[in-house]
Amino acid sequence: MQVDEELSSLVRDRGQHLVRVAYQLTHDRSTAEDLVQEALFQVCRSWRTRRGQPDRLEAYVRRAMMNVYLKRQRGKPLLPDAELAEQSTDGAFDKHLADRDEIWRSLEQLPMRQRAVLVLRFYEDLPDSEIARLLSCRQSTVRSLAARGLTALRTHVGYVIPLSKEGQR
Amino acid sequence: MIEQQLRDVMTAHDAEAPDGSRLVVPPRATAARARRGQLAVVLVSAAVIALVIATFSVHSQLFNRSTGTSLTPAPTSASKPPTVAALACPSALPRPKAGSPDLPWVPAKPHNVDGTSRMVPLERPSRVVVCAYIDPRSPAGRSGSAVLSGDLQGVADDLAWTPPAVAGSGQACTAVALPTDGDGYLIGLSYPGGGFVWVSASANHCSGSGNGVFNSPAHLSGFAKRWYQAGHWVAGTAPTCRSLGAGRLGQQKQMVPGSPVSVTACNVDGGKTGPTRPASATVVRQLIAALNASPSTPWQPTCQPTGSTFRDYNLQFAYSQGPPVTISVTSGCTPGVVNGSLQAGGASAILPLINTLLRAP
Repeated sequence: MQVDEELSSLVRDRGQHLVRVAYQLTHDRSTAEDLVQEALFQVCRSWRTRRGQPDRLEAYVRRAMMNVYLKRQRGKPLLPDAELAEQSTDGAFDKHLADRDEIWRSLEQLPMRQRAVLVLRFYEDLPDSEIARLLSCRQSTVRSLAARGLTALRTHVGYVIPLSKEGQR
Repeated sequence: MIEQQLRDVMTAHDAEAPDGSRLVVPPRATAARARRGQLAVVLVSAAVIALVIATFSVHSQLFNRSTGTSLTPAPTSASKPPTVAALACPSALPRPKAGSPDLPWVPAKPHNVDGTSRMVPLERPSRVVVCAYIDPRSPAGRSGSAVLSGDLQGVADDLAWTPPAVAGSGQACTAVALPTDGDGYLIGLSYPGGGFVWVSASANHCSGSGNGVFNSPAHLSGFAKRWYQAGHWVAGTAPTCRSLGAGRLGQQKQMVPGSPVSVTACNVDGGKTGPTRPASATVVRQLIAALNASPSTPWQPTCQPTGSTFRDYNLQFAYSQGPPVTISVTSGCTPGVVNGSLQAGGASAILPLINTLLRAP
């Protein structure tokens, strides 16, 4: 099988999922498409021995995606804290939506490696060993990044929605 | 539990992701292009082709509506240019003819300048115009033109080292359609004495660039886009060791052309980047000699596995002038040495030297 057929097959079968993962990472549709494209482009250019091994090809593309994401996001300015303060606290449903929106926006505030770990663990349901392989780090680092990311999310949500704690009493 | 909330949030936003089906290559398109034996390894989807065709059809209208954009016909080689040719942007890029080679289009071939040995001369141009043909759905802004201000030497430096296409070489591109694939740029450079050269810089990631006689697989649209948006020359990001970059003129003849002044080694699969200066000049000389000793052929993005263990390294050779050459060295694969234009056999002779570089303090 040729590299074009293998990649085409991968894009056909798994393209939607790859784009969804990219969107979870970037929260931007165009950037998500760009991320997948660039990863595929890199894999295509550095194509070596993945022919005949579709499983390895996808793993390689996913790893390239993470590399592109981490490299691209570096230095990106964080959203100002003031943006976190916007919230709705009228009614339980509104409150629920506000919490959800807040978590989504708080994800954008996290350092890129923490965010990547949370997406891989909670969206992709990958084990820490696989996340460590994708991010080229140790499993203990993955656990640490996840813990810090979750703590930051709790802090953000708790900070911007203080009425939530009041209402739970 | 914040964990469950996080899962719910991610799932709730799942539907906002772009439609992955637009990334799919129709099998018939792949097969047809493969049968024609074209250079692209992975082929642009039908969506991209449709996008490009649609773009060409609307460019004329876009330019007619834009303000401050010269719509005078571009000069041809038959016209008598003034002392410094004031190149004007064509109102539209031509629609590609079915069945014709997918070569970069320019309004006119190089005039009174050497456009054969280089994409553009090394000398500073007197005037540079960038014509942008932006698809309405592209995030790259609007169509128009910009006459660049400021020092124009950077334009020459960025374009003059573009490596040419190598007969029989392949080109790697993916099947994914990008929002900017329908965009196209022309860069017009004028010189004292009436010489000029046009450079076509398609933004389609499967297309290359060219000046009418000198074609290259390199993607120059990034330069054009930056300059057009800024209105002046803007320095690009220097290629890193882990990226192959656009390459360097001369790499089509020799794996490591000319006389590099430094080398950087890096493990592409992870790990630390090697030293930016060689630990031993002897090792670097041995490295260059070994890389240039192996018989090379035009690069084809293929591989014949020769083992079960694979390691990817890059060697980036920097020069006192112009861009670096980055060489990909892969163990367990033949060809194992690639510079973007040429390929050579196994990596076994190179790997011990790379390991020496990576171990250097």
